[in-house]
Amino acid sequence: MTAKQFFKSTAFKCIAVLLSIVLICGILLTICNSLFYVSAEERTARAVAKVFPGEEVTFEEDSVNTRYADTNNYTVEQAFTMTGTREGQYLLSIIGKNGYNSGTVTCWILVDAVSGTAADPGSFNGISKVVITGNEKQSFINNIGDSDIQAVIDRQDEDGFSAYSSSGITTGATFSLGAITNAMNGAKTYTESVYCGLVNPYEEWIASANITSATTYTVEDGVVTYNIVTAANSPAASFTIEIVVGTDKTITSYTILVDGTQNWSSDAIYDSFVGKDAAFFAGVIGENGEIRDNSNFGSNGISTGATFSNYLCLSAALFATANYDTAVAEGGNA
Amino acid sequence: MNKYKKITLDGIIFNNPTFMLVLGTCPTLGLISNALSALEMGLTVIVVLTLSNMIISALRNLIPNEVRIPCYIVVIATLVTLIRMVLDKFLPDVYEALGNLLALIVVNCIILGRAEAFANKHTVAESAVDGVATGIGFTMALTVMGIICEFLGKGSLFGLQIMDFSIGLFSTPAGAFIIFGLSICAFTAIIDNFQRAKRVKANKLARENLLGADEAGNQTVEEVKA
Repeated sequence: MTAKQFFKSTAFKCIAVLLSIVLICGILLTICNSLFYVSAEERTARAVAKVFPGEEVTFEEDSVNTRYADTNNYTVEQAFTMTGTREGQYLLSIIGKNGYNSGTVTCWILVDAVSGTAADPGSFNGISKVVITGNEKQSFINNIGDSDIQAVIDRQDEDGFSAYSSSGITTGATFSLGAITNAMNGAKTYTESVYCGLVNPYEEWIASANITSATTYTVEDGVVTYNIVTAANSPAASFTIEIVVGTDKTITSYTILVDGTQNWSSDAIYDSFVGKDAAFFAGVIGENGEIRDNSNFGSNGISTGATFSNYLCLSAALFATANYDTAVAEGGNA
Repeated sequence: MNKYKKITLDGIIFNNPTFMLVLGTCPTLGLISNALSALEMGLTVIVVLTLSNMIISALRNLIPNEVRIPCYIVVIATLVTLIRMVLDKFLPDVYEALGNLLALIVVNCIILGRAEAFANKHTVAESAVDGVATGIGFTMALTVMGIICEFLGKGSLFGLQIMDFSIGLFSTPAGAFIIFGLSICAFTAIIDNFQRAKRVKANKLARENLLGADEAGNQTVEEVKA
């Protein structure tokens, strides 16, 4: 085929037409992209405006502290310090995890807090507003009304927020509300740690992700007695558990003082923790608490149908046994 | 019948893309749990479908047959991207409500289907009418099913709460699928009945005309005999 024949052929016409259309479309899109570009600042302002409808607010965006931003229960995506008329408030965009079908709920959470440092700590004063902006797999999330979220906000105690304690909030979307509660507890933990300077004394200890600063322990003759207060793991609420670890680094006594499962837990199950060491508990849930699987629980003979509560109880047991040496070295704090 | 009227009726009713051709099922199932989102998606599809039909019709004599599908895809993808940019800039709530399904309009079979089946064989004006009519048919179908699903699934209409009772299933794609199937049944039954009635009426008219012609013919023969 000669060059002349090629330029007259259908093949050349196809290439020319297709390239022309692509070129024209590309130029058009380039022009429109510059005309309709939405900057990151504009997107942030839009998102924040949804939290404060009809109100002009000012704020400063903070960089997210990665150390406290991501846990098994929540991820902090963005953080803002409100200024002007809303000074003393912090706005966090948080993904609450462990919702229905292992999905997530994304929320904006407005927190009231007094800022501080480790030397001069501030205080967390509560949550003013929760705005749900998105979710994954939460088919029944529309069952959750503003009054349900307000009920969770109102039920704050020193261990955090709880949607599911002795008088549960009935929505028909228990796990979605659980994910929202996880986000709210995440907002509390993050604000306390980053803005208020209320650092958890156990954060350097092994497997401390679900252990709150309210936890205490005593050491006597090499025997460590913990009074562990766990975080909530919605739908399970916070547990308070007394665990005694003997000199052989195994549990000699395990007593649930405050049960976060509406009395679903079985003493027989937790009695089986006696005599077990850190290696056993780490084998079930892992030191980072990354495994939460009924089948895994079941294979260790501790399946109860209350997985979220089991997870907290196992976390407490792992914390107590894995940190025996540290506790003995520190000498107690109660 | 006026050809524009026929194109319009075909697009909205007799070749309704959702109920009769069962095209564009992905956004249908994804969005009909919310009537407002369904309406917004329908309006977006009207714009994209009309513009794509017009452009493809205008270029139909330039585009070689061998590369027509890639050309259509490029044109449709460009239009959808433009619409996304405009919505993101000026109607961010709509942009967020439609989410990823907005980008999926590119592969919506209604748009490519009308380009291939209609726009590349008809004039720009006819293609524009077809785009609007088919888009309206799609929008109506989505909105009607959205109203039913939202009412049953959330007890609300276009976001306005009107009753406390709701059946959660109808807020899910599974519930949407049930409503979709029942809607197809109902729409097909109505159209069938309408067309049957039309056929009966036409047959009756033809029979009467035939009998009238016979009588007229007999009279002529008798007259001849007389």
